[in-house]
Amino acid sequence: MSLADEVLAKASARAAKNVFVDVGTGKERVVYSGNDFVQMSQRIVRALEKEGVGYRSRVTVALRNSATFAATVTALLKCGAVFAPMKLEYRAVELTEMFRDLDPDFVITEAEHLESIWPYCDGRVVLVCDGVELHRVDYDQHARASPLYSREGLAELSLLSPRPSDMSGLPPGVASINFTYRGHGYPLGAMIASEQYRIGTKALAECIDADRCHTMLVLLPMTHIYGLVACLFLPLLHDITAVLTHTLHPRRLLQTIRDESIDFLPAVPEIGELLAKTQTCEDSRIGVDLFVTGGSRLTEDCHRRILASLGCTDASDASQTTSGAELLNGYGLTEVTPATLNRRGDARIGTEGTVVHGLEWKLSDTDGELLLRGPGVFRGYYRRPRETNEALDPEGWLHTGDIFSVNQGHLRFVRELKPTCKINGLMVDLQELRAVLSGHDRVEDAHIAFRDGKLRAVVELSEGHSGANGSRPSGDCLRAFLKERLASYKIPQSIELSDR
Amino acid sequence: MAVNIREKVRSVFAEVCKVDIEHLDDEVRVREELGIDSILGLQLLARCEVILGIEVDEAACAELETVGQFLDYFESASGS
Repeated sequence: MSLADEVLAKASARAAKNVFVDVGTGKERVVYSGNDFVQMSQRIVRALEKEGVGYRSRVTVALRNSATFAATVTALLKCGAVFAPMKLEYRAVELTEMFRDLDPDFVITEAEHLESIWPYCDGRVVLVCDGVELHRVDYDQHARASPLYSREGLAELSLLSPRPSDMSGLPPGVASINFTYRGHGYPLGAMIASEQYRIGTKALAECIDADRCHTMLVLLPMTHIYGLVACLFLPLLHDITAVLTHTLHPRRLLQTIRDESIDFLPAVPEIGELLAKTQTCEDSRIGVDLFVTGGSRLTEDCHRRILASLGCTDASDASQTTSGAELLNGYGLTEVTPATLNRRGDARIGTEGTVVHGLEWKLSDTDGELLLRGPGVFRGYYRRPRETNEALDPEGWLHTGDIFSVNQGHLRFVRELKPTCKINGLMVDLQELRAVLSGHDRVEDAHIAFRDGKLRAVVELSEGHSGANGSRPSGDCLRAFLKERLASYKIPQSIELSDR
Repeated sequence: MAVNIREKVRSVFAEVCKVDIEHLDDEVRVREELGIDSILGLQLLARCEVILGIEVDEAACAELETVGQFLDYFESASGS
């Protein structure tokens, strides 16, 4: 049975039971039953087929978290199309490269995001989702009405490796192309097979004992591999009601956890810490039975603080709290998610857990880099053979670029080997930031560092920056330059200027 | 009353950002100079809500840039 058919069969079996509950920003609550979800997916399939979406069509999906997002992904899988989830925070440099790399036939977005994505839509079919139906938007008509959005002047990266002109390099079974960074300075489209989603979801379900989870809170973006596995496929395939919220405001999240009887919360460690701090102020525990963290580093201190907020009165060494609630930390990357995870009843503080079933693993003899192999590993980077060969060796081992140590089967993250860092669970490629900064006509070079959880840049100004055609750029000026080109989470908190 | 609210919010900034209160002039830029990212910002808003007994508009706060603008916002939201 295909992944789409399995999702639809499970949803159909749930009939009138809640599959998704969208609490919005707290003012309105929309419920989708299993039958609603199946009908919505089938309606989207018909709309997609009418527009010509079919086997191997490449489709960019730029939607917010919603039941519609899940139904659209299901419908695209049903049509045999390859979807590319696109984060809405991306800016010009990133979008330019991703659209050029993927060259999608179709773009699915929402009306409010149309303008930011419009410069990349020439020659593509654009479908706008209003939450119920998909509507085709005429490019020429919209372009005439929006003269501001021209393709001219869009920033480009200069570090790109040569790409084969053959656009058909999609191996069989690929369900999606998920953009990620590996420290090359530009995004890479990781090809993810349906089987990988199925294996990742099964591995996660085993570790968390999914039968014990009934209602989960969705905070992770569904455009991210962790969100797709944990918040889209897991609830759909394992009879968990997914409650969607569109705020990260900690007091409102704690209220939603209480109101909706949430028992399972997958998130990044930063959200756990945010909730823990708010809970401490308000003297009530985070009322979930299971908290799963991944996406970025969970320090031991942070682990203990979250444990305490889950109701653990003695967080000295226990992984299971006196309230019965548990915190499981794990590790994954776009190329394989999850890769490691602590298991219910066997979690250890300060570790990323054990490698999930179905994956072979070893640590490199030379530097301790974690290597992974198995059907749950990605199929390569779309149209990037050089980068694919660097990541996947001839024996099929994925070089994760992350160094680990191991103690009784539990892995502990040590540091990154590749020039990247994670901020609130989002990958920042230090080479990309350097390349974009170096594109400023007054900048000779930039040195980027990630220390104490903060991104810092030391910028070397070019000679003659105070010449006739310009004054010395300020840190604010460079920050404004970056804001136009990069997602806001990639902007350094400190920019120091240095003259050559 | 208004002064009291401004000082309360300034104290929350100092506590959340771990900086001395005398360094929190109205002109200080919260993201660039205090390093307040989205997560820290939400923590700050939640603390202010509890202390002032109000509910903030997250979208409106996302547009604010300096300590002074935040103080003005909370003063106004508190009806002072």
